Amino acid sequence: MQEIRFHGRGGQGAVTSAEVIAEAAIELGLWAQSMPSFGPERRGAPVLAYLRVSKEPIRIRAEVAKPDIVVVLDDSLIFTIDVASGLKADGLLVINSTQSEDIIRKETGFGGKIARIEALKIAMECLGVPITNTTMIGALIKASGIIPLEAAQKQLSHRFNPKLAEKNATALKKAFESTTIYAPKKISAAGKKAAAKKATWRDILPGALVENPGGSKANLTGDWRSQMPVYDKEKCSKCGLCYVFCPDAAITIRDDKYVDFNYDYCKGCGICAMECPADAIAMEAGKKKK
Amino acid sequence: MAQKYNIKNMPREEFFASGHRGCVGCCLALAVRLAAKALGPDIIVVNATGCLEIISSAYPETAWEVPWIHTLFENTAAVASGVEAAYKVMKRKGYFPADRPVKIVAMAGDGGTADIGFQALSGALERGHEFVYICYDNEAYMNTGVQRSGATPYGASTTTSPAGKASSGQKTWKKNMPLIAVAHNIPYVATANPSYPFDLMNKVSKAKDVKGPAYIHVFAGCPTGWRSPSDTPVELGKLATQTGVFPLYEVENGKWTMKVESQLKPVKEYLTASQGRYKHLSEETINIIQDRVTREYAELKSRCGIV
Ligand SMILES: Cc1ncc(C[n+]2csc(CCOP(=O)(O)OP(=O)(O)O)c2C)c(N)n1
Ligand code: SF4
Ligand code: SF4
Ligand code: SF4
Ligand SMILES: [Mg+2]
Repeated sequence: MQEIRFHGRGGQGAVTSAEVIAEAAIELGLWAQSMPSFGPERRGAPVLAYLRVSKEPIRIRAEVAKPDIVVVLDDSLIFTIDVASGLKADGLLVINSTQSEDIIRKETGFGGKIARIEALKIAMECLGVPITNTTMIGALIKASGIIPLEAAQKQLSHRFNPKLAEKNATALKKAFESTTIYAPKKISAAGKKAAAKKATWRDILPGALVENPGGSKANLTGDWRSQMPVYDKEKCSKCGLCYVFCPDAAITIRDDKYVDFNYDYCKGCGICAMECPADAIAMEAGKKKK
Repeated sequence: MAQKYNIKNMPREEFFASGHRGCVGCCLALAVRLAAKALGPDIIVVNATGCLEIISSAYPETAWEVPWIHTLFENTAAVASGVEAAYKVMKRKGYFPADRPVKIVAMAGDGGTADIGFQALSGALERGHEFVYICYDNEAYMNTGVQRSGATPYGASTTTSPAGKASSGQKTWKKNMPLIAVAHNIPYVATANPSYPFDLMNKVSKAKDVKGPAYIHVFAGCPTGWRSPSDTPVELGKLATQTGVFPLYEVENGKWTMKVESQLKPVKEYLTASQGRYKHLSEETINIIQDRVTREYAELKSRCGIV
């Protein structure tokens, strides 16, 4: 049995990736299961999905804690979450990233086989949207051979209308062809991230009291972003409307009435750009300024 | 004194902090952020289960800069009543400074208000507790993945009123919660919409000063549940009001006033504006909705004494 854990952000399609492969495996006569991990997920927030594929019936119904393969749809996650948690040393990490092998190894603390794919680029080229799920399936198949490429392509034609299926099939194939594989490499254990300790019920104050008002500011939602507002001060008419309409209070008005963007919290919704009467805000793809 | 807000005088403090976990482009978060500015620091928020609770209170963090208590789904107004009564008693008995203002503000979603918390709300309004109740209406049970509520509009596709071969979405008309609140003869009822931010803040500020129950029904654009791009909900909010789908009005001690649209836009403009939940609507269904909106808008105008 192969056990796989997907890490993505709400809206990127981690759950769909797991489903597509499970359905393809079942059609091939294998046993498979896929499940999302439920939590208070929101568009842009980190999400998990699990997948098992086996030649034998699968009896287990639990989350995947010791995966053979981890698939990461968004590499900003490696800086905040221990994505390689429980990943077997001889396992495989498939990651959508533009980062170098060294940085990926350093941040994940993983010394095993890595497959790297610039999925966002392929998704934008082939689909025109930053949804990397099918692209990631291509990379996963290339690195693991978990199912044949054709089986995944067939699933896409079940799932999408012909035009969209074809676009996705192109993305899948392109990803399959442009995945880079890095052989296992010894890394110093010091690079490993300590797994964050989760609070248990014992740590909770009576009445689930929360003592620090505004403590959510510790949660930097800026890394949920898939596009970012870029401000053109020359065009700004200092009306303040972007500040008024930001759902995340990520814009402040300066003393001179121009505005500042707080990219620690800006989720990249684009409302400010939409509402700006002076066209002084443009949305650019990507999390960070180029 | 109730404030009249504008960009210059709106409070710069944030009482609903950044780092909350609302979806990208969540206008429930925007509505609450604006309302919290108008309410200021001297409040206690009583909040039902739902998106607002989940996005603001990922333990052990909170986006609230003011006291906040989470209630069950069904008893928000009952808990608010209890907190209000407790402060009254504490003030009378000298356990809390009698001159220190504290306003109790209940907040719940459309499901938590029009359906499951309805009885508790009706009781609290009828007993006349001095509190503000804000229903933020994203028109479905969003937190649990978009199930229809009594406030889901006719025709909207949700997971439990799905559009398909045999069904064209929600089969019933949106429950008129503000009108039901008015029927309780409370001193203040209003509808508001964060697409009109200063109007929303002015109404919240007015509600805060009311001696007795005040009910505000707030339109809350939800890109996730409505299947809309994340930059559209403020625009959708404007269209909802400009088409008469979500009119803005106030009822103060029985007197109705409204912001009249001189020329209502056709509802089609709203229904076909990048909302996946209405994508399936036929011309015929759109006409049915138009007739209903036209009629209800005329009724509202006549209540306001506008001919
Ligand atoms: C008695 C009860 N039934 C069901 C639930 C599950 N539940 C939690 S939030 C929610 C939906 C809330 O919908 P709404 O009040 O409209 O708020 P929204 O999530 O849309 O903001 C449901 C069904 C619950 N918590 N308690
Ligand atoms: S894109 Fe604009 S409105 Fe949206 S979170 Fe960022 S700063 Fe706020
Ligand atoms: S909305 Fe546009 S013009 Fe107005 S302050 Fe913001 S950037 Fe400037
Ligand atoms: S589901 Fe809708 S209301 Fe809930 S957090 Fe997301 S956008 Fe906001
Ligand atoms: Mg709701």
